[in-house]
Amino acid sequence: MGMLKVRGLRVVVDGRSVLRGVDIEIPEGEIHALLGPNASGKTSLAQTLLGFPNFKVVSGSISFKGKDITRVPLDERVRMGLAIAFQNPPVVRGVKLRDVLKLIGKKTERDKLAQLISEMRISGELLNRDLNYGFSGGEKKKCEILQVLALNPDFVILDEPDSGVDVENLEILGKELSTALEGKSGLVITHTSHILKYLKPQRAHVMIDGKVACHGDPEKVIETVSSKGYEWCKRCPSVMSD
Amino acid sequence: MPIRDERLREALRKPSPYGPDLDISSYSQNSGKLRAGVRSLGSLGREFSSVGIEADEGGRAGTYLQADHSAIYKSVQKVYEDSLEIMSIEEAMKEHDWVAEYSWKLVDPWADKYTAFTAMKGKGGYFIRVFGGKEVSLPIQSCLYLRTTNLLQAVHNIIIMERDSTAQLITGCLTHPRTGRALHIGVSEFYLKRGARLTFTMVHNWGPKVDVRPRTGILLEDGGTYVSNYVCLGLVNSLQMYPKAEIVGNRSTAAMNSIIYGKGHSYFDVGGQVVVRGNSNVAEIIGRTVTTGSSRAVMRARLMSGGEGNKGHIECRGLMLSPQSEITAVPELVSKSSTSELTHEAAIGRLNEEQVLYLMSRGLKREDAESLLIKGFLDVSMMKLPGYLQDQIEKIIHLAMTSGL
Repeated sequence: MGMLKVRGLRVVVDGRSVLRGVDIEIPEGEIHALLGPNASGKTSLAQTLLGFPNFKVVSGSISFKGKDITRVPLDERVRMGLAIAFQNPPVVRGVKLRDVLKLIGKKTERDKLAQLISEMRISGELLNRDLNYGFSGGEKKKCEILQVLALNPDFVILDEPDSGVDVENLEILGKELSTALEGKSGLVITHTSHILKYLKPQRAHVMIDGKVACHGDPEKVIETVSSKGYEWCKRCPSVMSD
Repeated sequence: MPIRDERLREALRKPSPYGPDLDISSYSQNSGKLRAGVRSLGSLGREFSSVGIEADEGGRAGTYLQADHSAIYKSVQKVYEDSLEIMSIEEAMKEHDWVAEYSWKLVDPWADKYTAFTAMKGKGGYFIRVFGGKEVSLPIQSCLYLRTTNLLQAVHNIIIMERDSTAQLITGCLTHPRTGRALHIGVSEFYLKRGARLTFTMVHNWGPKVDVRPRTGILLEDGGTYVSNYVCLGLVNSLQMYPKAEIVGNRSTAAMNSIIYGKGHSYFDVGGQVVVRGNSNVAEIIGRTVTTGSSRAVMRARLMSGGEGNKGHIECRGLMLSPQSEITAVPELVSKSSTSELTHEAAIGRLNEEQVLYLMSRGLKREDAESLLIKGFLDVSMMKLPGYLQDQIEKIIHLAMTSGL
């Protein structure tokens, strides 16, 4: 059964077209990777899937767990089991990570959350700091992923979880995610594909100019993209498709 | 205590440069029958806890309670009897000749009609003295309660922190729910001797027809720390205060924090000023104001450094939750020395939609996300209160917010 189905999705932001007919289907229990050059529409797709109101769906549909959620509000989608770790989360002064975890961590048992915090090496000082204020790149990613895991979602969207993260933290994040996401479904957006070493996606999609240009076996896709570049994908999508 | 000076009569006509002018003759100056004292605080209504006043005195070192013009309760816990004294200002003047030397030295009785009235006809107010070298670990609480409609309550408080003493004072001011229009004037003079440390937290909960004019002066000698926290959350007709701290010593710290949550038609003109005359001192004025309904607020702050190597910072932040409300921020820095560093930041805006959506992306409903952001904006941790007091103030703010949202 398709956990997430996206059909012919066209989206505009402030009158500018950002998605031009996206089709993706992610079955239950599968993690897919989404690659693509800068400004190809990867983050726009992630935010549209979650329901950010400035991403206006012009046509097409999103269905999640068999329900059409195209018009469902953002917070309701999250309560249905969708969750996102942002690439660039905003600073929220006065609100501590601890405050947010208290409010969202209801689905996760307290012990499990404490274990996650310890395994991800998140300090008490970080928990008591204003959210994302003065956080390093690695700290931001860790806190995003901690919040997502605290929600215990059915479908996880990770937007560039590996950008700006050093090797040591990447290993911590990678190992934590590979355990936590076992059997779950998700979409991992990555520019560098470093995180894919840990997550082992079943399928990869390449996004070019607001469309999924091609998809296929992740190893093959990554190898082709790194040796031939995205320009090549633009010209020859059928080579990698299965 | 009344001052006999005919020239003060002229000052009775002198408006304050800030806030709406009030006709003090329209209030009853002599009514407010003398109220009987109470034996314990157990009979206090729940409204007292809304301003931080605890009926259970086990958590407080001492208490002063005044209703209208009458001091109805005072006590000092036995273990603190050698550390502090609490009494009405009238009793203090009788008990200690020298108290007069501390009277009207930090607040000018000629400043405006409110100070002049209090100097001539004020009744009540508290005298608190913490003895040299003593650390009072539990907060001292005082409460000024306005009970009678149309009353002018004018009190004069004197607080003396002797050398190397430490204390926390929490003052709760409130009106009875059925009290109509009334005017409260509170003149307070704080003396912090060498090495003294005082955290002074005020929680006010007035009525929609009550006008309030506190007038406060603070004097710091060497190595002292004065932290004032002002929290006003309820409705008020108008509230205007501009307390002034003066640091005459070196290596002292003065911090004034205020949290205002304006509702209804309330008008606030709240600020703080620190004048630093000594060297190597630190001064900080932080204001956080939220306006709802058609409330209006002016955040006023002034730092003046006359000595060497002083540091000062002003932060005025306003959050408008209603398009009918209004906020003005007036930060002012004056430096008379090139070795002092004075900075300020001021910002007024509405809730940041990106932050609201971010919190909603964690599954919070819009109203819960907004409420979390407002609570975060009114950040109590800046007040550097002990944990239990911080929890109490946070609860008070939460209650005030939820009853207004």
